[in-house]
Amino acid sequence: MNTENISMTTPIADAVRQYLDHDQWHYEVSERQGIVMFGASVTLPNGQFRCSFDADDDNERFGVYVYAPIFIPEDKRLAVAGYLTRVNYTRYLGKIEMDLDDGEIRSVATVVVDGSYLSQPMIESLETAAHFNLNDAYPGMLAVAFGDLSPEAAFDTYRQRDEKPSETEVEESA
Amino acid sequence: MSSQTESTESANTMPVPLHDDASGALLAKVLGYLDELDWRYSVKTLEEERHWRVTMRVVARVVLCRTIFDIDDVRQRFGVVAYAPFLVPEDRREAVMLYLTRANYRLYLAKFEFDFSDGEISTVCNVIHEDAEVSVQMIDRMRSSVHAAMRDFMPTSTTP
Repeated sequence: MNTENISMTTPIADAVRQYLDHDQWHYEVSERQGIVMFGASVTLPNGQFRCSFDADDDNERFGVYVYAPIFIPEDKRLAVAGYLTRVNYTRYLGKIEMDLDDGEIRSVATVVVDGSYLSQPMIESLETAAHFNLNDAYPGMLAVAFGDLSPEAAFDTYRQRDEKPSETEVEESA
Repeated sequence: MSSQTESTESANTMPVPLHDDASGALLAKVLGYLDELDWRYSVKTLEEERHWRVTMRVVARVVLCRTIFDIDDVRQRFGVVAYAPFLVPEDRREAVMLYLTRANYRLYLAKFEFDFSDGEISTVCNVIHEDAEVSVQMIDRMRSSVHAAMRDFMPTSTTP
């Protein structure tokens, strides 16, 4: 459900709303410390993820955050960090981050548009990077965290998959 | 010039073959930005069409880092990457990897990359700017973000 009572008369927030509406996303809007956040859920080939499009007009920057629905157990965080470090080295846009304190995993893609503007293709490239960086790395992450696969073996599998990109359509859900 | 960074590249500006049309505009903007800072650099034209690399060396506090501005007009990609001037020894890579994982969680724009195979550390900031112009302000903030990450995190990055 879209929230209409949030002020969004700013260029970045307006561009994000236009992007999401054009692609018929279902989202909720909230605002915190001047950042307008468009929250949604997305179903990708390897899982369903919560995501947020954060429009920070005050600082002229925009970011897409995608959160994994799991937390990495403490005794597996070192191994998963090894896997994600290898994955991040292969990504042009964005990165997958882990909070070593609680095991939270999120995929992030950000940009500053100071002196320019946020185009619709720029939003698309950031959204695609944030979502598919996590989607593509997710099976290996689970295998390391819960299946006792080594980071090196999981990354080898990831790299082989990465060379054969999936054609599966993305499906957004409320 | 930034108070925290200093260019040390000894090579001076090389002639750059620019095209007559709009291609090469971002390269000219990057060179203008570096000239304004009075920083030294060298330019390499890659074999791919309309793709250039501008290389310089910058001191970020105590770290002398090779820095590359990568300008790909065809794919509308622009990136800045700074390399640490050392390779992490094999027996310290796991500790450094953990430290950089913590660092990455705190970085908004740039990211640390770590090559496990040889211990190379770099900070990277990329953008795909389709249908939009990369402004001088964007160049400055992207450049600043990779050098700030190197400056703020590198001197202690041998301990997690």
